[in-house]
Amino acid sequence: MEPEDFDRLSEGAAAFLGLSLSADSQAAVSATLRLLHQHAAIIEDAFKDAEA
Amino acid sequence: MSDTLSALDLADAIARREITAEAVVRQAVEAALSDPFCAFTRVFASEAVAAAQAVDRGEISGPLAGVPFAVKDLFDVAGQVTTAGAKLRLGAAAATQDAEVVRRVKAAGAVLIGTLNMDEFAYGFATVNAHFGTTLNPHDPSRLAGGSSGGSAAAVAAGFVPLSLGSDTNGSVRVPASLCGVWGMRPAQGAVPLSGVFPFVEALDTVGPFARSSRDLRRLYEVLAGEALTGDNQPLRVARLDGFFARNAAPEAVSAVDTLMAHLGGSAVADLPQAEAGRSAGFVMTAALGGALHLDTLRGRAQDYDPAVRDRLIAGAMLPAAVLDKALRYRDHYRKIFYQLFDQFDVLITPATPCSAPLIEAGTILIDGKPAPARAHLGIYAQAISLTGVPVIAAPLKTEGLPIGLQIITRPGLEGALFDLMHRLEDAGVLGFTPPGGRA
Repeated sequence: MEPEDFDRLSEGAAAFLGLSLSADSQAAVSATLRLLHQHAAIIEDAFKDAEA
Repeated sequence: MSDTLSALDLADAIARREITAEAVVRQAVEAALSDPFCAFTRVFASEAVAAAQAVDRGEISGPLAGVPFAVKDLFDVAGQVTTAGAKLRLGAAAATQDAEVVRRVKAAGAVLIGTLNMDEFAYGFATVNAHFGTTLNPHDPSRLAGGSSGGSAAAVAAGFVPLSLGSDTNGSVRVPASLCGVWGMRPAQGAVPLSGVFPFVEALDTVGPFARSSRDLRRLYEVLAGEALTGDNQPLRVARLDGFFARNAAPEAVSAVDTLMAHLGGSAVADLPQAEAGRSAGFVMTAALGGALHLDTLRGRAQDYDPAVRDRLIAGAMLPAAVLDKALRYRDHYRKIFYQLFDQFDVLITPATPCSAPLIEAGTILIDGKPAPARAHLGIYAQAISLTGVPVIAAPLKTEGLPIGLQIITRPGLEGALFDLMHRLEDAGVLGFTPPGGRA
């Protein structure tokens, strides 16, 4: 996923929750989502290693 | 008195009537009321003095009779609102009874002085709280105390109380214990009851004690767990965990492990290449399960959250279920691998934090060579162990510099032997609390 994809996810999250977030908060949510997806990728790779 | 004597010495002096519980508790109350470190959020002055007077009249007894203690503000205290460090809970109903662990410590005769600051809803390793303030490190008030149980560690380090309670989901006892240079413990999952404790991630939540000596820590743990430990000084096979646990370690963290291993005369190294993924699984579980817990409240009262906590919870709540499912399955896999290490070793050692206390103003630490928020990353080593559910003591290295702690990890059932080892290392001057200002 590209950085702008996480920005769109962040906007979608705010809309889903009915929130109006500041630009700083939108950026923080986007950055956290990116970090979480990085961690998910690490877990995915670890599973592959375990199965190999 | 309570700023210099250990909890056990205080209890002994009170029992011998060399000092009164009232005098001890009044001193602790006065210290808490003039706390310059933003450790306390509430002080129960009249209730504490009344309880101390009851100790002096012989109406309350127990192994900790008259010893002051304080609790992180997520434990229910009868008649008080449990804020969990959140403004949005200030209007919540007061607790009708004490959390089970508070009840147990009171039943041992200890006197509750007040509640202590924390990261909002325990989500952070910094104790930077938008509503209740930032807890300052008593060793250097320009530096973080760590979190989320930062008030609990700072209150003990500052000498306000000899004992306190915190909670540890991902490292919230071990991180502030390390940065404030006090003893802390994450008990084995399930060893200490959680009833009356505001939840964060129930699959990982534990209650843990803080103290200024290993023997005080042991006694408080025994009270919390409801059992006396036996260890018989049995020999333990010790190894350091390297790899992930050395990758981001600052020189002081590397040196702490080296010093301890040198004293133990051991050079064994245990390998856990899955640690990074284990930490990732903990990170994902925390975000997703914490976000899910707060989803309904976020919809209605998002503006009342600490923004830094809210934004992380929103992101966690948006994670696909499949990602959480994979993290949960990895936890199970990781636990099995981790427990295999105990075939060769009884005790595993890592730094408790990657560095000593960072400056509050900076708010970052170096991760993979880049500045990263301390709030999220001070617990990288602790978080990688939390998933396993094993008991861990956070032990302060005896040092002239800023405090730094070590994770001393064992398997459930060996707590007594681990404490025996901690006592020996403390007696030898390798581990131990150094009072703020007591350095060269």
